[in-house]
This record gives sequence, C-alpha cells and structure tokens, in this order.
Amino acid sequence: MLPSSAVCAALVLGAVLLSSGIAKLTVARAAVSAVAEVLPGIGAGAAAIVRVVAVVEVLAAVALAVPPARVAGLATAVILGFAFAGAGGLGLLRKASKDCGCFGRAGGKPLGARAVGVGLLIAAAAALALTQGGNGPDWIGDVPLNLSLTAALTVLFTGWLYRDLIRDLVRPPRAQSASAKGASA
Amino acid sequence: MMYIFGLVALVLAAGMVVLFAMLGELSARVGPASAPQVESSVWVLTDVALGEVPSPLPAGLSGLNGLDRLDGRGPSMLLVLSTQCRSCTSVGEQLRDNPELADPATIGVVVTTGEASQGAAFIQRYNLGSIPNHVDLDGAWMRTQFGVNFSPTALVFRDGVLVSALGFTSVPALRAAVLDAAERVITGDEPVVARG
Repeated sequence: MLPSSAVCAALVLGAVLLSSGIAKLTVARAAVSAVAEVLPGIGAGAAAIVRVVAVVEVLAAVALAVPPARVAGLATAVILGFAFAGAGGLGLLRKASKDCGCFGRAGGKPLGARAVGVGLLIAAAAALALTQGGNGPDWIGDVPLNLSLTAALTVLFTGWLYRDLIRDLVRPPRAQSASAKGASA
Repeated sequence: MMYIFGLVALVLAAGMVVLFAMLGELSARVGPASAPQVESSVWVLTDVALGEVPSPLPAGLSGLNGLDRLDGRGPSMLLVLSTQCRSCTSVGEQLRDNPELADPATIGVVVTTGEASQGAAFIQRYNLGSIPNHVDLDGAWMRTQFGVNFSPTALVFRDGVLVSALGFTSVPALRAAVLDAAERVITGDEPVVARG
C-alpha cells in the first residue's frame, strides 16, 4: 500500500468512526438493545458499553484526522475493528435477532456474520495503514486539509448510510405516500 | 484561519450526523410518516382478481383454513410481503414479536422477492416458518393469478375463493377487520369487511 493510500484509508476510517460514534452518542437505543441481547445479564451496563465505544470512536476519528496523532488513531481503530468482529461473533453464537444499531443507525441486520466481516475489514485497513505509518505526501499532511477531508467524507458516508431516509424525504409527496404504504410486490 | 475552517467543517459534519441519527430514530419509532393509524390502516384494494381460486396451490400453503378446503371454516388470509418493502418489514416484526397474531390455521405468508435466498432469509428473520409460507420469485404467482402488484397486501379467502384484497400496515387492525369481524358474523349478523 502506498503511503498516500494509507492516508486515504485513515481518512475514510476516521469518517466512518466519526459518523458511527456521534450517531451512537445521539441515539443509542438500538445498539444498547443489541449489546444487551448478546451479553445477557449485563443490564444497564449495555448502555455504558455503547457510550464508551462511541466516545472511543469519536476520539479515534479525531486522531485519524490529525496527522501527528494518526498512529494512535489507527491503533485504536484496529482494536475497535476486533471489538466489532467480536460482537458479531457473539451475535452468531447467541443467534441474535435484534437490529444491531450498527453505525448508530436504527434498524439494520442483527449482530452476526456481517458485523464480523465489517469489523475485520476495519481492523485490516487500519493495520495496513499502520504498517505504512499513516503518513502521506506533504500536501495531505496539512491538519486543516485533513479535518476538511474527514468532514467531507463524513457527510458522504452519512448520506450513504441514511440513503433510504433521504430518498423518502426528497421524493415528491405523492410518490412518498405510495412508498410509505408499501412497495411493488 | 485554515484551522478554524477545518474545525468548523468537522463540527458541521458532526451536526449533520446528529440530525440524521435523530431523524432515523424518529422514523424507526413512528414508522412511515403518512401511514394511516389503526382506524384507517386497512383499506380495500381494487384491480385484484376477486373470485379467483388459487391453483395450483403452493405446497407451503397447504393446511390454511378456507384456502384449500371448502370446509366453511374460513376466512383465512395470505399476507403478501416483499423483501424490498419497509412496511413489510414492519409487518414481519409485528408477527415475530406477537406470535399470537400468527395463527397458522388462519394466516399464511407469501414473500415476494427477486432471489429465493432473500425470501428464505426474510422468513427466518421474522420467524415465519411456523405458519404456512411460500417464496414467490419476482411476485410472479401473485401477479399472474391474482393481479397483486402491491405489498403489504392481505388476500382474504373463503371456501377456497379470493373474496377480498386489502392493503394494511397493522396486523392487529387487519385481524380485527377480517377474522374478528368474521367471528361476529358467525355469532351475529355483522357483515365481514368491505369487499373490493
């Protein structure tokens, strides 16, 4: 992997973690429910786990956007990736049925194979970037530019994550009504 | 100055995430914005082949009262759900979370989907395997035999004949409108739900 692609990977990871962390801090219901399902008996601890993970995600995202702290951010992203994969593994073991609240979004599939895959992907991307030191050409090492790129990627990722909602919001009222009632069989 | 610009951009992006997270949660809690409430959550569908007798009947749907037997024990309902329809996932959740709503003698499910694996996953996800079910690839059976192009749809059968097609969003409201009303017909003289 070229250094510049390592930087790109770090920025994308930063956007994903920033979106995920802030969304979980804003609305934790689905994620808490999913954690409580795969860790039975944990009770109120599920909410605390989700909050802590969300804060770590935001901190890691900020670190990934600031070149001097990028290595720490990548290391944290590796740990988070394995944590997500572990949660997916628990979901598989316990045959989770509740929506995972992944990326802080209400809905989605239960914790399972997909969470394992995404978690390992995050860990692998962060680890690969880490082996490159996470430093790219000078032009991309500029802190304000990195912050702006992270912001832009966050907007894009959030737009993709909530694309169904956006589609409903921008659709003309008549078509929206039909969509709300159902879809073509 | 550039630092401030970068930080402001990041804060604005974070604000957008907060906004969408709240909108997504709101959408998940209240459902579709224009979904009618219980009183109006069942409506009659037209342009459906009323009077049609399902033939051949898919093996997975056998055993449903009123669908394959002229035993006078109807009515029964086939719920037509699409894997691509948000309201249909809501119906699936209602059936999964309230097993008492899914009486295998009176309710069956037809899952319309482009791929058999997605249909099977839908049935598994919402625990619909315990009631009569059938995966209808591309909705071909529903479309060609009954003219159904909409989901979620409830097809009401009596004595093996399609007597009504209803759009719905709430399974309890649907049951109240069809099955419970039928009970009242048996015990009194109240008419069954309006027919298309």
